[in-house]
Amino acid sequence: VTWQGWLQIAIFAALIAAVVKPLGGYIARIADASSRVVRAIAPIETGLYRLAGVDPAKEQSWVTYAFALLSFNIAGIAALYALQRLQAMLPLNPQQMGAVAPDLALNTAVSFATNTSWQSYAGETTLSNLTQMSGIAVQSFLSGATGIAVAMALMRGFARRSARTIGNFWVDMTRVTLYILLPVCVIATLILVWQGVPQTLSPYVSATTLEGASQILARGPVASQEAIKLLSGDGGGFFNANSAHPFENPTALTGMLEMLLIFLLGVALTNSFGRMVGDQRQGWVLFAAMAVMFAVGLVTVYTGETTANPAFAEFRIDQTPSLQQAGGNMEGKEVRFGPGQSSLFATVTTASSDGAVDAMHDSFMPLSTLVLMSNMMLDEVIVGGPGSGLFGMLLFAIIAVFAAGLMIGRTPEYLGKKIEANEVKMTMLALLCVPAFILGLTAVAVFVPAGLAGLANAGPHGFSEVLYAYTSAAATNGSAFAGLNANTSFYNLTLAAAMFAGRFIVIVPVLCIAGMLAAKRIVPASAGTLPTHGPQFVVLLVGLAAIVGGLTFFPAVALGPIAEFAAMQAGLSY
Amino acid sequence: MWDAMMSALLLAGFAAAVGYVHACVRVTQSVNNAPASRATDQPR
Repeated sequence: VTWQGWLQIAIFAALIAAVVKPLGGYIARIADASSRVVRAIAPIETGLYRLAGVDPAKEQSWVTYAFALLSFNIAGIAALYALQRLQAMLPLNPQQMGAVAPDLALNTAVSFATNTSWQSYAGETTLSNLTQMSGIAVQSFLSGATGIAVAMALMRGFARRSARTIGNFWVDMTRVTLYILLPVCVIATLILVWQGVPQTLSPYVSATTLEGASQILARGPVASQEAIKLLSGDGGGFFNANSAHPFENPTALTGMLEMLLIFLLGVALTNSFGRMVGDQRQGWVLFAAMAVMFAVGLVTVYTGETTANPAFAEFRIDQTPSLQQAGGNMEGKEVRFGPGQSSLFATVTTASSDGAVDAMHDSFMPLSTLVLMSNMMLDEVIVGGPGSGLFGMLLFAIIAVFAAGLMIGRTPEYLGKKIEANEVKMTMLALLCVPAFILGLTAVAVFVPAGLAGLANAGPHGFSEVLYAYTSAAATNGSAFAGLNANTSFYNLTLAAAMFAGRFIVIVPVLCIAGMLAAKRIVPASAGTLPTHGPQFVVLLVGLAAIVGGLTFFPAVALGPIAEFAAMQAGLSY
Repeated sequence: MWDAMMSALLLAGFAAAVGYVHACVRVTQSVNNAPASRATDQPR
C-alpha cells in the first residue's frame, strides 16, 4: 500500500460524506415537491403530465403503484428489444451494425430495464448510435428513476400515518428524472467532455499507430451515456472495456468523478430518509452501517491488490511500489489507475449496484474477489443502486428490529410503526428469493454442458466465474468477472431470468411493505422501544447483514474464491 | 419465429410478475384476517 493510495481513498470518503446532507435534503424536497426548483420548472412537468394524461394529484395504493411500475418496465424491455432487432433499418447507424441476435437482444433489454446492465455484447461492435442513445441510455435513466421512486414510496410508508396511498408512480418518475438525474448528468457530461471523453455522431476513425499499423478507433456519443451509466447505478459501458477504456475514463480525475457519481444518490438517499421520517439520525445510522461494511471490504481489497502475488515469486518479478511502477497485482489493471484506484473502483462498483469496471475483476486476488462477490451477495445494502440500496438496507432494518423484538419479547417497532407478521413475511420473501435464484442457477450452470461450455478456467476459479455471473445478474449489479463466454443462448436466457427476478422479486414486496406501513398509526416510543438512532443499531444491522449473507453464501464461496486462495497458497493456479 | 419466442418469454415474465403481486396481496390479507396473537405487545 502507498500513502497516495490511502490519500485517494480519504479524499473520496471526504467528498462522499460532504455531499450526503445537501443532496439528501434536495431529494427529500423533490419527493414532497417543496423544492424551489420544482416550482420553477413546474410548467414543463405539468406539460408532460398533460401529454401523458396523468393526474398528478391522484395518488396510488401500493398495488396500483406496483402495476404501473411493472407495466412501464415491461414496455421498456419490449421497446429496447425492438430497437435492437430493427437497428439495421433505422438511422444513426454509421457503422452499419446489423440486427442484434434475439436471445442477446432480450438479455440486453432485460438487463438495462432492470438497472443491471449485464453486457453479453461489446457495444462498439454491436449497437448503433441510435440504440445506444435512445435505447440503452434512456433505460438507464428510467431504471435508475424506478429505483428511487420505489425508495420514495417506502419512505412515505414510514412517514405517513393511517394512509391508503404511497404516492403516484408517474409523478415520482417524472420528478426524479427531471430534477435529479438530468441536471447532474448534464454537468457530469460536460466535465467528461472537458477531460477528453468523445461526444460525437460521426463514424469511427482510422489511425496509424506508432509502429505503423492501422487501427480503427471506435467513438460515438460516449460522454452523455457515461454520465447516466454511473449516476443511475446502471454501469453498462459504451465500449466493451467499460471504464477501463481511455475514451470512457481517460484520467485519474475522471476515475474519481465516476466513483463519486456511482455513490452519489445512494448515500444521499439515507439522509433523505432521515428527513422524511423526521429524524435525520435514522438516516445517519443507515449511512454508518453502509460505511462500516464498505470500509472493511475496501481495506481487504486494497491490501490484497497491493501485496505481491506469491505465484510470481519463483520468477523473481519485482512487485514492490516504486517511482517506476505502481507495484502489487497489476494483471488486468490500467497502468494509469494502478492498484489504488482500481481497488477503490472495484469495491465501489460492487458495493453499489452499478457494475461499471475500470479493471478486470477476474484478475484480482482470490480474497479480493471474495469481497467483490460478497458485496453483491448482500443484495445492494452497501450504498447499492439509487433507491435500491436504501430499500435493501431498510429490509435488513426491519429484520433487525424483529430479531431484537424477539429477544425482549415485545412486538417490534421501527420509527413508530409496528412490524408485524405481514411485514416480516414480505421482507423474508425479498431477502430469500434472490439467493435462491443465484445459487439455484449457478448449480444448474455448473451441471449442464451448455453452462460448462462457457468457462475459460477450471477448478474453483471456473466456479467463481459462474457464481459471479449469476450473483451480478440477480443482485442487478451487472459487472462481469471476465473469463466467462456468456453470449450463448443458455447464459443469455438464464441470466435474463436472474435479472428479471432479482429486480422485481424484491421491488414488489418492498411496495407491499410501503403500503402496509403507510396504513398504520404511529405508536409513541416507550421504555420498551429499541432505539434505532445510535451505534447499537449500527452494530445490529451490520451483524445481521453479515450473518444472513454469511450463512446463505458461505458454502458457495468456499468452493470458489476461498478454495482458490487455499490453492494459491499451495502453489496451484487455474 | 425467434422474435415470437422472445415475446412469449417476456409476456410470461409479465404474467409471473402480476401473479406475484396478487400472491403478495393474498398473503397479507390472510394474515390480516387471522386472529391476533395473545402474546402481542405483552412483555414476558
